Amino acid sequence: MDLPVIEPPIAPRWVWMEEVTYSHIPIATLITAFLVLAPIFEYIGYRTKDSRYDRLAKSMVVFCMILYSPGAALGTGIPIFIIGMWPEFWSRWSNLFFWPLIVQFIFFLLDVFFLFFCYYLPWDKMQNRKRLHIFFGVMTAIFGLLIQAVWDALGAYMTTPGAPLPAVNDPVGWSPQAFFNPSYPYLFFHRFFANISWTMLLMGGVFALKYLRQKDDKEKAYFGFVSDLTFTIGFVAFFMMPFIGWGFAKVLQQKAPVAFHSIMGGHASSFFMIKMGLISIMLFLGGGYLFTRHKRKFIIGLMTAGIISSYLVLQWHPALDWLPGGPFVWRVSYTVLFLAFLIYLWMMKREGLHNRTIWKWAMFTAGLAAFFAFTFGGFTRSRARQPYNVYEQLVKVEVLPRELDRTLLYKKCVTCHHKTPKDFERYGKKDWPTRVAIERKRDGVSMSDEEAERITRYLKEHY
Amino acid sequence: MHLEFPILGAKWAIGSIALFHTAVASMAIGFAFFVTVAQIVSYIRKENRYDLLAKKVQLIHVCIYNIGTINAIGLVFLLSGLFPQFWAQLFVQFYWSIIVEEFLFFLLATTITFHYFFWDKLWGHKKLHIFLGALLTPLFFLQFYIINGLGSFMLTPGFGEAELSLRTGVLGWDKMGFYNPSFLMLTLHRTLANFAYGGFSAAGLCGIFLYFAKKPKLKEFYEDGGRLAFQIAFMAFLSLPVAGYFYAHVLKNHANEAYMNLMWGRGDVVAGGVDWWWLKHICVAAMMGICLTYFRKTSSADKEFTIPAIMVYSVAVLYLMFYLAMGMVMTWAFFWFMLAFGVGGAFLSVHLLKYHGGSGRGVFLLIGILSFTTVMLGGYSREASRPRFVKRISHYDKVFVPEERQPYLMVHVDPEDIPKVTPKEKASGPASLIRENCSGCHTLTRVKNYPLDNWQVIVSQMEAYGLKLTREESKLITAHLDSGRPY
Amino acid sequence: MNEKTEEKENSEAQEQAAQESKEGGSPEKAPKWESELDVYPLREPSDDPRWAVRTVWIWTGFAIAALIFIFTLLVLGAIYD
Repeated sequence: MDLPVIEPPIAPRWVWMEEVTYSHIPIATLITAFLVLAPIFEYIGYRTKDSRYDRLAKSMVVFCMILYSPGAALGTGIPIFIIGMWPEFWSRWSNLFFWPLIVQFIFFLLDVFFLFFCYYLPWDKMQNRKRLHIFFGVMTAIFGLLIQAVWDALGAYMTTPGAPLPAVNDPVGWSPQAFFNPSYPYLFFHRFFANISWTMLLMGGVFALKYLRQKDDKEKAYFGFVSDLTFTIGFVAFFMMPFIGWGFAKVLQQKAPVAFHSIMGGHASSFFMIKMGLISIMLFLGGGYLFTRHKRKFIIGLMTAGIISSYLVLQWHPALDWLPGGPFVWRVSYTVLFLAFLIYLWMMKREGLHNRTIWKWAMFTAGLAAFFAFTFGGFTRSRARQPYNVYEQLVKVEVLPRELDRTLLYKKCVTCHHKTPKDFERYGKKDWPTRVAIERKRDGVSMSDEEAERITRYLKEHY
Repeated sequence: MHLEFPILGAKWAIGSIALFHTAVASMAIGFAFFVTVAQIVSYIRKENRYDLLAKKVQLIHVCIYNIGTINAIGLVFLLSGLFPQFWAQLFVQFYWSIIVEEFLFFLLATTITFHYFFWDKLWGHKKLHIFLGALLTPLFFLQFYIINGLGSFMLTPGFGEAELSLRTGVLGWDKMGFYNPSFLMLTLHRTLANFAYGGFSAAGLCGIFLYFAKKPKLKEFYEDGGRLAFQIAFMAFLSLPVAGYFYAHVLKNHANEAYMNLMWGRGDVVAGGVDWWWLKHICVAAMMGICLTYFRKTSSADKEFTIPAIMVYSVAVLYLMFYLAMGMVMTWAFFWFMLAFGVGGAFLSVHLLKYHGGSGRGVFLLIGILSFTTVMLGGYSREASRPRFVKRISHYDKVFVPEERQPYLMVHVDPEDIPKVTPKEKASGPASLIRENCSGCHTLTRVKNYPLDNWQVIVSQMEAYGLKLTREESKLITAHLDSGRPY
Repeated sequence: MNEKTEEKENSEAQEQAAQESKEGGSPEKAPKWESELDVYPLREPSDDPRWAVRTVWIWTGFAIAALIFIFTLLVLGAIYD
């Protein structure tokens, strides 16, 4: 098909695309996480006869109801924007995944059916039929997760395609290799825990501020309770992320090395670093609060274990080598930081100070940091895939020559062992033509004259 | 070659989802209008009952709105897979219209949500709340104004005007295609039809609630609410033949084949031995009979919300004239059929009112069901009458690209210049596999000088560093290196 | 975040619903909706939560501006290609 490409006005197309996706994704992920947790809270309330859990669950579902319509309407904008701006990608991609998209549509209908008609509307009427009501809540959560499962498969395919992208006149409709592509499970579980983590941390933070404003003692007690509960869940859920993230990075390293290098020292690394910085803020403030707040050894122990295992993940991970001085300096630095962090946390373990205003604001800040870390995570992933719409299968229409040269450089020069694009910055002699000429003569390196020229030009301009 | 949809086939898959979407979306439009009228009536009279009913209807509206939204996205997926060229063509012509449509979607979704969920919080600002709800109607109007541009274009694309405007304008905005011959009549007809459908559906809901209501006060509440909804719908319903007549006139001139298919029962308008357009008119005639009888039986001065009888009867004559005209154009059987069903509907209405002791519950429920059926059948007939729909994508074997506008409307990259990703030739045999894969990063001497002889560990280590091998390749390489053979 | 301000009311509604269901629609006490039918509960503007009024005003302003913008687009689109 000979498709004309629509050029959006004012901002480049990726800005429009990010704008429309970022208006939808936080809403969609929040709804998914809330709907997973609401029936759990409701069940705990039912078993313990503690009405605070039921109140919390219901308020979460009401909030989902408020957000559902705008979220769904914004979601419909995503394919519409893509169809006009990347028509070839959409035609071929929706051809490959026609049946998953249709199945996802059915999941969506069932999700709405259970949420609206079985879970939200009859909440009060079913007070005496709690088990059935909770079952409806579980069904809502299952369909919400199934929707996410489909989208994550399709999204993961764009970075690690497990099967070729078919032409439009080559009908496929469904490919298990494409659907169950290498990074799919990692993306799904990474997002699952990320959703739980950021939504609960932010919710805990907002409830903490709500706690400050309450005049009524009963209400104050309620908000104190739910802010602690949700914040702790969010904080503990976070510790699944480094493990899954490590596996995710590993798969990218093997199946999409250019994307991996882009994140680890390449053009997307600054976003990744911001994300890590935000996570550090969240850990510092959130950990401080929770160690001040909790007396129970189990929770304190759980968080300590989480922090230590995050340290282990860094150990397993190839040295990122971002600091001058090589892997040794890098490892020593984060070991010292982790130790300092643990000492700080255990020093915080005092009683009675957690209700101070400053800690409530710290919770809110930690929640915000978690939210922005989440958004930067998605942004980093999509930036790392550039200039491809589908990794090594389809180049985006608005590709710039320098992006192609950069990809070529990563492919030809960075894939050997675990070097990062940072190495180019550290290379003392900036005599790039000579360097490239030497490297291309090495055994097994295949580089045409034109490729060597492009690589040299890119190196000269950027390093 | 294209994707096929099993059992239903591509046409019916699209058709069924599109009809369902239309039924839900049209109901949403009608509900929005009804809610505003009910709130205003309530405010003027300072009576809460209509406001309460409006709130109930708005809650159902919030729920069905989401179903409509999700249906729309299902439709996008189906069209993308089953009619890719047609779909791409529509984007060439109406991309910007669809983007505005999307924006309206968001505005509507948020306005509905705020209107419902802030209901009890704004009793001190009631006028503001009613105004917020009233915003829904123009927003909905604009939204289906846009979709009517696309829908009517598919039926009456004009005589080449569309292509002309596409050649001279902005890519994604086809002025003449959008404002095509049947655009105005379709919009007018659908506006009135949606008001009628929404009102009758609200009356139908009241009918259902009336069947379950036990307490007299509640019965009265639904009876009055149903009556208000009915009257709003009836007024819109009465004016439909006027718009319908002119709509048919436009079709006769600009989509003659579709007109013929409708009038003489050809093509897909007849399916399974049933002329679905006739069936739609049979429903309409029955509805007219029901409405007139209910109106006559309940239009005494002491009842609320009466419409001037002279207006009702004079417009009802137009219906009769429409059937007479259709009898003359097509066949007199049409006229007699409609008359028979009109009279039948009237008798049924009398019976239902008598059976329920003067309560409109049966009439409300019946009119709700009939209006839903009519909307579905009307939508189906319109789509089925269009030859393009029947012949699938034969008209769009190549998407029209306005060449002369390419240089400034498209990005400044010639797709030919984008290097294609060419798959590397795969080396075969363990020796060449080693040469190719290992020497990508270091010399082969380094492989030969490795002090360890546990090659499985070394190869796995290399894979961890980023070497891409299939499981078979990995085994072949390890076995070859273990054996110490040359490479 | 709206859900938190809703909570108090939700909880009240919930308690009330539970109360109603316990009563099993006893003939002695009329249900809540019946009393709601009789009064049109207008109140002083100052009794409305300020954040709700502010949110609705902002949204109404935005929606009107958007309506005007879209309407202008359609009119201009009808004039120019």
